This record gives sequence, C-alpha cells and structure tokens, in this order.
Amino acid sequence: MSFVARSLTIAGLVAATIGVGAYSADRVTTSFTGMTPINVGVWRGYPGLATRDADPYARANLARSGKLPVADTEGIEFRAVMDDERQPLRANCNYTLSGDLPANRLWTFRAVPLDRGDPAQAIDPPYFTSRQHARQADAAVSLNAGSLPAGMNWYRFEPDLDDNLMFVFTLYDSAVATTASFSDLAMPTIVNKGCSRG
Amino acid sequence: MGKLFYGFITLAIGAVVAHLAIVLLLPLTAPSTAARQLAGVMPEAIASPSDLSALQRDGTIDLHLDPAFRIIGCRYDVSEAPMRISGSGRIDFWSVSVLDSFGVSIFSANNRISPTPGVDLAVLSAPQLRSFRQSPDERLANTIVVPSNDLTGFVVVRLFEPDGSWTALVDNFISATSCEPVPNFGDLAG
Repeated sequence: MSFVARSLTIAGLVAATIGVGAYSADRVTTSFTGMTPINVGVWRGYPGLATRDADPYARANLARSGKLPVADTEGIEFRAVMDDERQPLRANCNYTLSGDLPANRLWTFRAVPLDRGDPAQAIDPPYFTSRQHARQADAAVSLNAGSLPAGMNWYRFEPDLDDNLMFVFTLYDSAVATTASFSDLAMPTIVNKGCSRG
Repeated sequence: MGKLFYGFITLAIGAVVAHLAIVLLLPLTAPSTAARQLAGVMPEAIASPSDLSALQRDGTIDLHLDPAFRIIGCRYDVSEAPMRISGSGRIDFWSVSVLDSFGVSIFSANNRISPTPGVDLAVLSAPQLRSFRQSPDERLANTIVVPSNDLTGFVVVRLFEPDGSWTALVDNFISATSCEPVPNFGDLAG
C-alpha cells in the first residue's frame, strides 16, 4: 500500500470514528434525559437536575433544550409521555389522572407537545394548579385532561397541539427532591378515556 | 484477520471517546443553554430584575418556565462587592435559586425557610465570605448569605401566580425587589 493510500485510509477511519461518536452523542443527548431518574409508574423525576449532581447525559440534554429546571429546595418536576397502558399521550384523546402525590406545598400541571418543533406552541401553555383543583374525597388529585369538557378539574388541551404530548407535574416545596427514599412515592395514574379521530 | 480485529477495536474505542467528549462538552458549547439565554437578556448586573416570564412569552427566550409562575432574574457580579437581592411583599409561595455562570444551581431556598416574607439574599465571593465571617456586617443580619466560587452568575426568583387575582400582589413584590451591590462592604474589617 502506498504512503498516500495508507494516509487516506487512516484519515477515513479517523473521520468515521468521530462521525460515529458524534452521531451517537447527538441522538442520545436529544432524547435521553438522564441516567438516574426516579420512576413512579409512568412518571419520571430527576432530583438534582439543576445542580452539579446531575449526570453528564442529563446535563447535556438540559444544555440542548435550554431548559432552566427547578432546583431541589424549590421543587421537583415529574414528566410522563405515556398512559398506564404504555401508549403515547395524544392531543386527540381524553385522560383522567387520579391518585396521590408526594408531599408538597403546591403543584402545577401542564401538557406540552413532546416534539417541540414549533416552540411557540409550548411557550405559554394553559396550566392547572393545586389552587384551582377541587379535591375529591378519594384521591389527592383527580384531573380530567383533554379537548372535551369533563366536569370538575378539567384541563383543556389546546386544539392545535402536536399529536404527542408530555404531561408535566411540578411539585413545589416537596421533600421528594431532598429525601433519601423514593420507594413509597405515589403519582397519579393516567387512564385514556377515549380518543377522537385524528 | 488480526489487523482487522485491532482496527475495529481502535475504531470502537475512538468512537466512544468522541461520544463522551461531545456529551461532556455540550453544557459548555450548546448554543442556547439556559446560562447563554440568561446572559443574552441580562448582559450586565443592573438593579431592577428582568421579567423572564414576559421574555419567554414574547419568544425572546425559551427556558421552559412554569406558566403558573412569574419568574424574575438578576445577573450578579461580585468581583467588587457582594450582590444583595432584597424586597418586601407577601405572596403564597416564592423560591429562589442562585446559579453559577454555567447555569448550575449552587443554592436554592423557598419562602418557608426564609427569615423574611420577601426575598433577602446576598451572593458573596470567597474572600468576601471570609471577611464577613471575621466581622459580620450588621446590614446582612437577616440575609441569607450564599458563597459563590464564580464571580458572575444569576439569581432566579419564582413567584407563584395561580391566576389573575394574584397579579397585583406579584407586581408589587417585583417592583419592591432590587439587586444591588452592598456598598462599602468589608471596610469595617479593614
């Protein structure tokens, strides 16, 4: 093999190596939100996300998204991208969320498009808070989320939301972020009550 | 065969190294990290806090902020003097986070653990903290003191505004809050 051919081969291999590494890093940091979540049913939270304790993948994902997360003493955010049947959350479906929440002083709920292709849609989504929530006897949280009006505690989806959604519960002044044990945490179930065509 | 095998292993190790390098460098190099966005709208430390929620609504920044909150921020620069964010006002809930220049939270609190109803917090550099410990400054007696290794960074305050009936209270809270250097700090300590 001539010197030129050998040099070209090595250069090609180096380029391929960097390409594979860059491509995998790009893919992973876009979708993978961190290595150490608390999983409660379909909900995921990341204590320490705002601090130096966050793992490198969580920090890289955060850097790309531009998100400013709540810090531990402020609160903790739980996100869900599927219902209890493990089906993606969709804007043309109606859901009930019911169950308990970890101890908190107040909570907020919102639904945002999972694929933020058009960020303007998600910048100022409607929200629901514990102050508006009429508490039912049997559960700490009982929310109806969807485009069809549904009694008390109705969170209305914007009709032009993208197809797939992410539900976000943020618990403020919650001990979850600072406690050592996550084993007995409870989050609301997400049940699909039917979808319209689309 | 052996050459091919070693070639493949070298390629795999190289790819892993490139992958890890990119993942680790992203917080410093990504174009729109929270810190870059905050620095963009707060290029220097000034007394009146920026309304980050309003900047998010008009599309200037996108920090994925909770829409049930009004969120304000200040930039600090403690190279000359400590920066104190203080104000008065009573609302249901507020929380504060001090960020270093990379947007990483180095301290956070909420109104339940604050000695005052409004925000009262001072960011100090390491030498300022040493001086403060040697001779505590009376003016900061009820102030939460936060040491920062970085000389610059941001303070972000989240004010709960569940609906329009809270807007006036939150507005008052914001207009009563300012971020100012502590003048003549450490003079007493010499």
